[in-house]
Amino acid sequence: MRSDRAVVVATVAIVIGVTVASGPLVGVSLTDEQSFAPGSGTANVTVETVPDTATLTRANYGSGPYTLRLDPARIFVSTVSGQPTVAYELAVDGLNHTRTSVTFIDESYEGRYDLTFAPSTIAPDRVDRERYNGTVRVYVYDERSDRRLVERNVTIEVKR
Amino acid sequence: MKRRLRRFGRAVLGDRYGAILILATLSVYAVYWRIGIVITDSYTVANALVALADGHLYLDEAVYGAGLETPGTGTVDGRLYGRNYGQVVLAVPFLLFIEAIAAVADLRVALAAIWALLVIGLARSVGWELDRPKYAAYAGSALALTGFTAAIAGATTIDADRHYLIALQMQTMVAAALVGVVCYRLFARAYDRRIGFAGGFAASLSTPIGFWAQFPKRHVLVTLCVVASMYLLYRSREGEVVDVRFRAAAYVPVGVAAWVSAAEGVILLLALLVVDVPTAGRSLRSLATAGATCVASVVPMFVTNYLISGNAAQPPRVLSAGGDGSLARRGDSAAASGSDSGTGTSSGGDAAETVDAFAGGLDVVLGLYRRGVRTLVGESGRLYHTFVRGGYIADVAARDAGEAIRLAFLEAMPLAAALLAVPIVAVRTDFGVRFRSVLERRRLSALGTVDTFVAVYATALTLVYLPRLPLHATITVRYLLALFPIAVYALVRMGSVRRVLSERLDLLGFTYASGVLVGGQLLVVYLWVVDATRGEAVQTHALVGLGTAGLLAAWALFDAVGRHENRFGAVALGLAAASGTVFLVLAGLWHFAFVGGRALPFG
Repeated sequence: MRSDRAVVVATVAIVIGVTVASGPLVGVSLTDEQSFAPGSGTANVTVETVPDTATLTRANYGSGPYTLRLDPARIFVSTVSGQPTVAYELAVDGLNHTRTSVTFIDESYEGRYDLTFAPSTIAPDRVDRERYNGTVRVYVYDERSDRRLVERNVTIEVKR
Repeated sequence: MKRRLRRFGRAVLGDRYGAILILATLSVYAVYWRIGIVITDSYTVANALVALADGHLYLDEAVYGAGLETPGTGTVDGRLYGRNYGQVVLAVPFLLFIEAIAAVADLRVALAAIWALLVIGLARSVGWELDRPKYAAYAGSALALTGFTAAIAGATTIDADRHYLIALQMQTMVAAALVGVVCYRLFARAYDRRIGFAGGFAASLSTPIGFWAQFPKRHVLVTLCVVASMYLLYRSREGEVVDVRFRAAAYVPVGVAAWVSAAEGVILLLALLVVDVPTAGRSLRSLATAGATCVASVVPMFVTNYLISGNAAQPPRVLSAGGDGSLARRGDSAAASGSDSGTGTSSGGDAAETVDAFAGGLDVVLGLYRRGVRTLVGESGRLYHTFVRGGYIADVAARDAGEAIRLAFLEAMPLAAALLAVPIVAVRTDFGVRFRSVLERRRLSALGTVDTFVAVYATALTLVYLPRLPLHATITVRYLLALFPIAVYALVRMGSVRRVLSERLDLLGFTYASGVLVGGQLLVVYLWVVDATRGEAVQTHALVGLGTAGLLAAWALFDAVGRHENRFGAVALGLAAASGTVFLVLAGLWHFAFVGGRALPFG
């Protein structure tokens, strides 16, 4: 048998062999069960820093909508069990707009962690001021309680 | 068994180029495949497959979505029915395949194995074709094993209730890959294999066909039906006399398209009739054969309709994608008539009602065209926003989560920019000579027939849908998806494009590869640095697309007036094709990540 043919046959044999071995007949488990249980377990979370400004930026193309952006908040996570939920929220006064970014944490998040804020969009005709006031809040939801860790006033700069 | 498999492969794929094309396309699609639903009415189709697997057509279990009443369902006699039953039934083989695999293997591992086997098959075929079997075998095996390991390392189990969705997604991916294969076979017959391969590759991997490959909507299937009709129509006109078998076969896709979506079937049928009947000679026998095939091909749709509404001519959603308010009401008429028959009128099925529905259907189609023409004349802004520049339109964006996540035709397929030169080419063509030759031979050439069919179909499709466009949740003008491979056909029909493909294919391929690998990464860095939202990312693709389109248009126009710059043409075509591909890959891997987890989570 030529060597290239042997390599191909061996590769196919490995691939199919592993696949069959993973099945219920042989039962070698190669994949993890998906565990998705938001709000389960407990965690100790403290907030280290929260930004004091946010921005409303006109989208970088044509006459698009405004994008609400907020820098990450730094939190410190310890003694996690299960899959508690951390929420990072920004409410904009005068626009009747609230955006909440949710992060499900587990043991791998222990230590310092930067909570990111997923940008949201606001229709262009609604933004008519140069500056808005808003409130940033961080919440933790776990089996012990639903609690607010921090609340802080921020100014939101409009950049056209 | 092996011989039969080989014969089947030859019948579908043609030759080794066809095999390379389908293996390459599928292995690329698999990389950015996400197991999820992007548009809510796919819930309906997926739940219909759940129902069918359970042995009935009515929906009774909402495996997908929050409840059973998802967009596109209709009620008959108190029972809820889905839509696109042709798509659902044709997904059953895929479902059986998946269930069979899941019985003997972990499905996630098996999907990774299928990908690895595709890569090995691809490497082998390319190796034989380039006469470098050893090198290709080593490289292919290494890539396959690496990818296989990366995909299953740390992967999660796939829930059993995802099987239906996976079956539907596999079906549309195979259909999307076949769109390229059929294009290849058509172009290879009309010109040569290299041109054919480039065209087929572009159709599957440089147009939004590749975007919709993984999302189980009707459009890819309908598009496959359209290109299949084009191919069969071409074959039927190849010889001195019309080949009756291929002529009849050209009508089979009509039945499949109608089974998937009645309105799409009607549009295809009308275009086919308008072109085929006057140009196929006066043999009554030939006409009867074609007619009988057509009738036979729509039987599955009639049976499904009859089982659901008791009226063979009333699809679950009568022309649901139509234009105005009256059509929307017609769309709901399945529900209305259902309650009628429930309250004592004859429970459907009589001939008068069927004829009535037919006449009504025809009326609706003609009304759609009329409305389309009116829109074309009165609101040409729609044409601009649909075909050239989408951008932010407040009313549309309001239903797209406030963002401009929508590409116009040209933004999604910059390659189409070369078609700007078509009017100039047309003016410079001596139509007198051509027309006289048609009169002398008393028939159109094979390509002339396909040209006419394509022109009629594209116009009809545009007119039907234009009054509703631009529309939210279409992302890449998906209603006009069939126009993308048709645009590839038109490109290949241009002498200038063929000249570049014959003389500068290496440069084109090199530009394309650098565009995808280098340009794509630069785009990723840019989007990452500006922290682009989904809308900004999609619009960046749009602007990049328009940029490459401008380059290509400039070349095409210069070429049309006689200044041949083949090298420039190769670069422009390569960049435009790369721009289309980069959107497919980044949209699947990144911009539309919210859809669901990747089927093959490499790394």
